[in-house]
Amino acid sequence: MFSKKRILAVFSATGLALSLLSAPALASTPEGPVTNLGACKSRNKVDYDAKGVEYKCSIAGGGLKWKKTGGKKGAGASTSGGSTIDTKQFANVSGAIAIDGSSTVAPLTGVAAEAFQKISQTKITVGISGTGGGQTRFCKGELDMANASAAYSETQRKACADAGITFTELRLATDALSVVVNPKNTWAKCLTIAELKKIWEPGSKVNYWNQVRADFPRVKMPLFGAGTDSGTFEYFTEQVNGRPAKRSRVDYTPTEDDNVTVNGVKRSTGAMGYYGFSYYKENTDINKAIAIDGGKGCAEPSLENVLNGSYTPLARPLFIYVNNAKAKSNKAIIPFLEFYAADLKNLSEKAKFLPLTADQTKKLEADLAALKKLSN
Amino acid sequence: MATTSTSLESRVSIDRRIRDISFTTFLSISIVASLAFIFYIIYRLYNNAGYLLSWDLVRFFPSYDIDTAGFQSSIMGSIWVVGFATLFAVPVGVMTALYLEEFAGKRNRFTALIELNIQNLAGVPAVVFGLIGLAFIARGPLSWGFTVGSAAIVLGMLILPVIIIITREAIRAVPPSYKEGALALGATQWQAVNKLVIPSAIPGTATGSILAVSRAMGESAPLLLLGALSFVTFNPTGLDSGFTILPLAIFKYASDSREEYQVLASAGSLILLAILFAMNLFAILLRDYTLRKRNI
Repeated sequence: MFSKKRILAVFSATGLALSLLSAPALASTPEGPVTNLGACKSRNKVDYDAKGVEYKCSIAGGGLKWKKTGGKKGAGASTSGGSTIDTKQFANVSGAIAIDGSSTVAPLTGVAAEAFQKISQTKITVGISGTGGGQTRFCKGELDMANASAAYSETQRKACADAGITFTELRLATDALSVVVNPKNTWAKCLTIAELKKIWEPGSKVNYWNQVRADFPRVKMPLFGAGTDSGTFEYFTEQVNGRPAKRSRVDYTPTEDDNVTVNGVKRSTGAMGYYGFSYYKENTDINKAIAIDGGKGCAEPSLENVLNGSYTPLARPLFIYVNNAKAKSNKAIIPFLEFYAADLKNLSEKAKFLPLTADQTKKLEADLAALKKLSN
Repeated sequence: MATTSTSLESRVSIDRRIRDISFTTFLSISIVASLAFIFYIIYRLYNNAGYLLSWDLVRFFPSYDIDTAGFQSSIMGSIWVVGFATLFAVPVGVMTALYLEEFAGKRNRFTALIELNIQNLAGVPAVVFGLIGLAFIARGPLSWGFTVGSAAIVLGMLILPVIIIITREAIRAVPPSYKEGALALGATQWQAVNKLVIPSAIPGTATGSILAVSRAMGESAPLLLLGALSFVTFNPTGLDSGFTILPLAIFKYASDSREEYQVLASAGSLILLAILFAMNLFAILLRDYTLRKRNI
């Protein structure tokens, strides 16, 4: 019934169809040369322009494009990263570290984990089940560390205490929770917290922009926001709608995947949404962040405004929680955290997070030293 | 000969011939539609990410640096998890089916209960198996954690009922006269089963099992609950190791804010499809081969 001939016929037909279909794809993908560069056809191909500057063929947007690596011809492969710390001290560190929690913090911890695994023999998993999901697992003792985009609440701390788990809270970075609108939105440049509350408070009836401020046009306002299990949702609702946290209007599009917000805001002129700063940095061409007036004047989310304290109250601390008992038994944890803290500036830059101030860095170093002492 | 056939054809009413033709046309349209759907998906993926297909995708580990991002740890994770699931589910499933068909004797309440349960298990949504795994294997009595071992047991449980049902069908398709003849000639029950029933049932069992395993390969919901949605840059080293799987690595890249990672997700989907096609092709060739061998 299934003779070889028949199978061959089916597969050659499949192959033929595929090759026919792929013809337009092949014709359209390669990007033109930048300057004296060959065709950028295969990933990670390296070429040099007339001046000997190195370019690498990288994935960018929907296709391959030449990207400057900063290297020079003859200088050998360009080294990635700008880490300034001595990496040899970690070469003999081994063990497994389980991390889970906030999807906002995961890129930062992920970059750290990736870099650390290259210089040591550790195996680190970084999950993204949300601040709440990570806290549940952390307080069951399943995790060595938990990422959190909002400090644990009293009830969450009690859940850990009830399970006999003591932990250390380390503040790693700062996020500027960004409120974004469509680039075609020319009227909303700065909103006060009171106006945001009017839009987002439970039972809000604001559906058009002119209901926020009378001089705004009557444009429909579709809303996008964070899912209820995320630290982003918790922080935003607490700062905008007041305590207790997690109260919000419900007729908006909630999502754990910030891309939904990015694309939703991109598609509709009147749309509004909010998410972490690193997402905004990736999408400045299709989403526009608006300035927030939290009592200290209008301030846009930016490194400068977060460091000088004018982006308030939506600048939020990001944490990692460390299980004290595990830090003692698992010999990989302290070295990893030492690396993480020492290289934090470089890592934050890579993951597009806002770095800590000098005072905050001192606090992190002190907290880490205390944890190290505890686990010896 | 020719005359009889024309006279027969002329006797078939026009109404029945129209019905015949329209039904055949309908069937052809169905098969074209289902194939077109598959080809459209492949076309879209290929158009998106075809130019990325190279060994780099398989060689590189997941990374936050797009230039060195790939799928190695997730492909290896999938192979480990599905491999151990197969080692667990296929022998258990085949032996269960053999017992039920050949050794359980007449249908009684006990076998009826087992049968009912197997039928039900085959229809249970995958995510329920994930919840069972979370409650009883990762946590609870076994407390094996979020490891390759837990994941393999969950996927094994998921495909076990399918394998049992497929194997029973294959055994039932063996003509009873084979076994009866052997028994009449003085063979024991075990000899008859071992020498006649099992060899004859192998083609159906093997293809069915491979199809069940390839379903496990593409399954993501139950492992979502077992912590497989993680950033993992190492291959599994044992049953206690952390892991991620290909479908969830694709999901993770697809939900990244950067557009280039979404392209990478399309490339990952192409890899997954290639693996599934290869497994299904293997199933077809295996059936072909075993059938031919038996017919000689």
